Amino acid sequence: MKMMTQRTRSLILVFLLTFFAWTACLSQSVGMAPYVRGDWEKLVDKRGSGPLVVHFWGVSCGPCLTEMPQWGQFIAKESSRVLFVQVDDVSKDITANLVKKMRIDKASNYVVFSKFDEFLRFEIDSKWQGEIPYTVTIDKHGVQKAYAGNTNFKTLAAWFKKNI
Amino acid sequence: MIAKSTDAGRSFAKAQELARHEKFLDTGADARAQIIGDAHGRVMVAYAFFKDKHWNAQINLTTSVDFGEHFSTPKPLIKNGVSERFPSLGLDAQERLFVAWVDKRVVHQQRLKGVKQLGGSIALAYSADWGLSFKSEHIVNPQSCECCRIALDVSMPKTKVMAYRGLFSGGVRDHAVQVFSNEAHPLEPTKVADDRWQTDVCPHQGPSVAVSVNQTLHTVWFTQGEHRQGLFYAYSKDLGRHFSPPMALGDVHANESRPFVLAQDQHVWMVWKRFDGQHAKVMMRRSTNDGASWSTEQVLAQTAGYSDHPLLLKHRERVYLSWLTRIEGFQLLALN
Repeated sequence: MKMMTQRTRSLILVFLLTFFAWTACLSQSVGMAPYVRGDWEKLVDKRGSGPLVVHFWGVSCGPCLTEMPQWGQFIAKESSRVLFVQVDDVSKDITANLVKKMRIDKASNYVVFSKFDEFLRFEIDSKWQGEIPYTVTIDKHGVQKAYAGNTNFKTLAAWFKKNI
Repeated sequence: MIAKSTDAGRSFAKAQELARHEKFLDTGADARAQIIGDAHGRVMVAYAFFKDKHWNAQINLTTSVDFGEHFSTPKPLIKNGVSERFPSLGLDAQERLFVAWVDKRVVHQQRLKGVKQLGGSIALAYSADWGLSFKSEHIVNPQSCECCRIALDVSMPKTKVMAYRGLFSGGVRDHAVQVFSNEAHPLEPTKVADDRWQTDVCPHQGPSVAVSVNQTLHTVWFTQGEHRQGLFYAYSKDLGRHFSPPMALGDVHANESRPFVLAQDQHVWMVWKRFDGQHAKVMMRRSTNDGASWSTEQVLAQTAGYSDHPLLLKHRERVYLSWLTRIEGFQLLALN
């Protein structure tokens, strides 16, 4: 293989630096992290010793969008304990705009980067077929439960109180 | 993109681009581009894309008259519609092309009146000139689930039918069938089974339906209802007025999904996907007596990577499994 010239190396370096700066800037501005197959354990580790709620939603899911403003109000109190994962394969800007509009941008937000397929879902719940909205609760003892459909926020608030 | 094979899927010519919608193409969990063709070289492709920031969608159609060598510029099925998704295509023996889809015009009209209506509606139309014009476009059921594919079988001359996830009183997302005439005029929808899945989720998993030579309706579906959970099969001998008791497919404790059914004369095939955490398998059961009895389940194919939904299709007397997997590529397996 021919040795790279100094000029080529410089060009590659400039390109890489520009690329990394651009991606860092993008993720900072939209406040979202990628979620891929294999990430569930890492996400659950964020629980520490307290409770954690992970809410899966999609930008093209009507029932999800109807409910999201209520999540926005809810996380004003519990933001550090609620994570959101957006599952639809759409542009990052679209998700970012909705995250801001629904006022969940103060929470930790993730976007599924790999396919939202059975491999990814199996790590969370072996029988989950992909219906959304879908919420996983992990209590202070680490007991994980999940439900599909809308959330009763009064019940969820009481659950948090019991588990803090 | 579209790619053509002349050797039953063993090899494909270079793919050509039909349209470019980037991330706005509707590729949701149950949304797939649809394709249909005839022996004269006419091919139609239907797909949906999101046209605005509010996730309103548009269905586009593009056609070929030379066995898929060239395609027309895509054009909307509905001009200036509110929102349309999940097109489903069917071609009958008289070369009438039927299209069913999920339509949001009723929901929109209700919203303008201050009435909040969940879901979408089921719309139907047909074309006698391969999509140059559509006739009898109307809403056949004003309330349905908005997130699931519609199943359509128009191959039998007397019994044309669609199956879809309805939205019944109280937010119950159980399945309905609707038989319709050659002019797309439907009978009243009837429930396939009382699963009682009262939910406000997007299930992203629609049913499948097939009509046999005896005019028996065969349908398969997924539910998480109060009365049953998993995949189920039922048949109707009276155009959907009554259905047999639901028969479970697969193992109720396993991850079973994406059921599909196809009828050829008195033979009926059912396939679905089973996932064990490592491998996805396509399972099959077959009936040779119009659904009266069924074979035990059999593994048709498996993969250790990403895979799409298993589909059944027929060409002349042959029935095939169509399955796309990331590792093995496209597979077309003859089943008879």
